[in-house]
Amino acid sequence: MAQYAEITHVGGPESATEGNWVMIPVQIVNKWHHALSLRCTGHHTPQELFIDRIRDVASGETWYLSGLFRMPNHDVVVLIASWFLGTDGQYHLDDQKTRTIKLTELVPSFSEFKITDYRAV
Amino acid sequence: MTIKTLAMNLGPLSLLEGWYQDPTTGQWYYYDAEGNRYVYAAGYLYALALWEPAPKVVNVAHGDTLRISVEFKYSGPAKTMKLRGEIGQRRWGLYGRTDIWDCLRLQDTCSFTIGPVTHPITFRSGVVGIPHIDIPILVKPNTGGYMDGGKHYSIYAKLIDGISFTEGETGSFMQEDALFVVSAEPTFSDFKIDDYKQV
Repeated sequence: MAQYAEITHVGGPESATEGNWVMIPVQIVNKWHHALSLRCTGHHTPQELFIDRIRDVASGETWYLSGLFRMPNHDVVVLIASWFLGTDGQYHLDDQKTRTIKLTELVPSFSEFKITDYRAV
Repeated sequence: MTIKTLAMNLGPLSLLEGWYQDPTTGQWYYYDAEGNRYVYAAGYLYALALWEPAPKVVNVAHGDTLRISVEFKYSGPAKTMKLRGEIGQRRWGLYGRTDIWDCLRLQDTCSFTIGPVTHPITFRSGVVGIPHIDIPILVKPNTGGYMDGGKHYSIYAKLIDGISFTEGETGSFMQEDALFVVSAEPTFSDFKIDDYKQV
């Protein structure tokens, strides 16, 4: 359970095809009664970082952000983490959420093949 | 007396795997389990081709290059393939005209890769790496020639390299009489004595 920076939403598609861009929208709420410097990181297996952002978030404010990555040739588990800036000057892990995105298998399909022109050159 | 009407929906014609004979021509045909059609001639089975009249006739001569442009739709993973263009003609069978494709010239393009694409996209020759098919025209009696001057020939094109041929999907219909080969025979005329003198 998050103390300060609660991840309230991790979106994105249920599945995606290899090579396509996948967008992961994230919402983080500052639950503390003062503004905080928050950090959001997003990884997907195997450990590819696709979100790493820092922002000052007012008390009670929702921070909307998103990240993009190209779908690899396997299912991925997206791990979103929220961090808060402590008095020691370091960001501390506060909340984590995951989302699984299945790989959509593409099946080759051809259609409408035709000769459009022919000429002597 | 009342006339009663019986209405029956026969549905589309479907043929089971096996041999069929044309009662008019006597020609034997074979349909395989996938619905592919073959014609029997002299102990061999030849895949039947679907023909359509060519939209135009292009005159070609020995030394010309025939350029065929194609388009097709594709969706699926990244795939590498080639295009093949052929020049040929219908072969006449024992029982009259049959649909055997008799290839005289063929040319493959270099390999190209398309995809991945999730929705069908049209790919065209000359756009984003899709090549045209260039077939050199060789006419008898020149060395290596296979085509005769003064005759019409047909063309078709298809995708190859691990892609099975289906008309209208991975290959075109045979376009009948798309080419006319200008005679390559030497022609003499206007022969006359220019002068004569004592030497």
